[in-house]
Amino acid sequence: MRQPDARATAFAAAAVRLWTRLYTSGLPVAVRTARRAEIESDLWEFVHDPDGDDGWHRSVHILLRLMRGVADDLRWRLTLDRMTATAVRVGAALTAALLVFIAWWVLDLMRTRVLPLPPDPPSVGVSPTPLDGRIDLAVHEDPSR
Amino acid sequence: MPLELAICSRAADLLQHGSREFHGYEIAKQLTDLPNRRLLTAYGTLYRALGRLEVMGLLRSRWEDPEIPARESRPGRRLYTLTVQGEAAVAAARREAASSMSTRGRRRYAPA
Repeated sequence: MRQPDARATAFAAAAVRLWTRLYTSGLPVAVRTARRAEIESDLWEFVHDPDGDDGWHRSVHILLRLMRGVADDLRWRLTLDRMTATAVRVGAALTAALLVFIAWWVLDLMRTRVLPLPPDPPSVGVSPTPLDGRIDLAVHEDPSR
Repeated sequence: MPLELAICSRAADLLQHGSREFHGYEIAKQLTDLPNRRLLTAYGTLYRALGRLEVMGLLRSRWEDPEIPARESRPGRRLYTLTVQGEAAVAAARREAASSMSTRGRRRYAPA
């Protein structure tokens, strides 16, 4: 490849890389890395294809492929953004529902309850006390005073 | 979706010729055989279509073993395979195209 043609191809490839970097920025790492790697592989295959274009045709071809796909790149990005936004909304709704449930559960635990009376002690056949089961709560005066 | 169908159709042709897997550039080259398509499919159009086909279950993909590109000093390829559903979709589309062609032919040559 002649020097100017090589420079033009390098420039076109750099433009593709720059654009790919731009429209994939802010995406999850796995998605971003996969798209960039796939474009990188395509560029390499194109430049090293013995049946492919050569000379300045090569760089023009790369730039045309870039420009004709810009709308689809943007649509792809918008779809991913919408999917991410939906995932965030669903996640937020589930988290809110979980928090409401936990709050309700904690409040329910903290609520004052009227506990049931314990059952009567089992009878063991003891004769009734002299007070006949009653407690004498009368206040008796001390005669020594 | 003509591009998606064309990709599956070319993938089926490659499969018939013994290539089970293909990468993006390879299928882009195959698509230049189509009429009115001298340039390779644009990056955005091609990889968006491949992604959609994968979501639809007509293709599946994997990254090749990193040792291979390291040995050959080139970037790793994402390799696509036509799934059974993809093969069925191509067969159905070809049947439909054949039947519509024969219907058109019958209409053209039918006696008045």
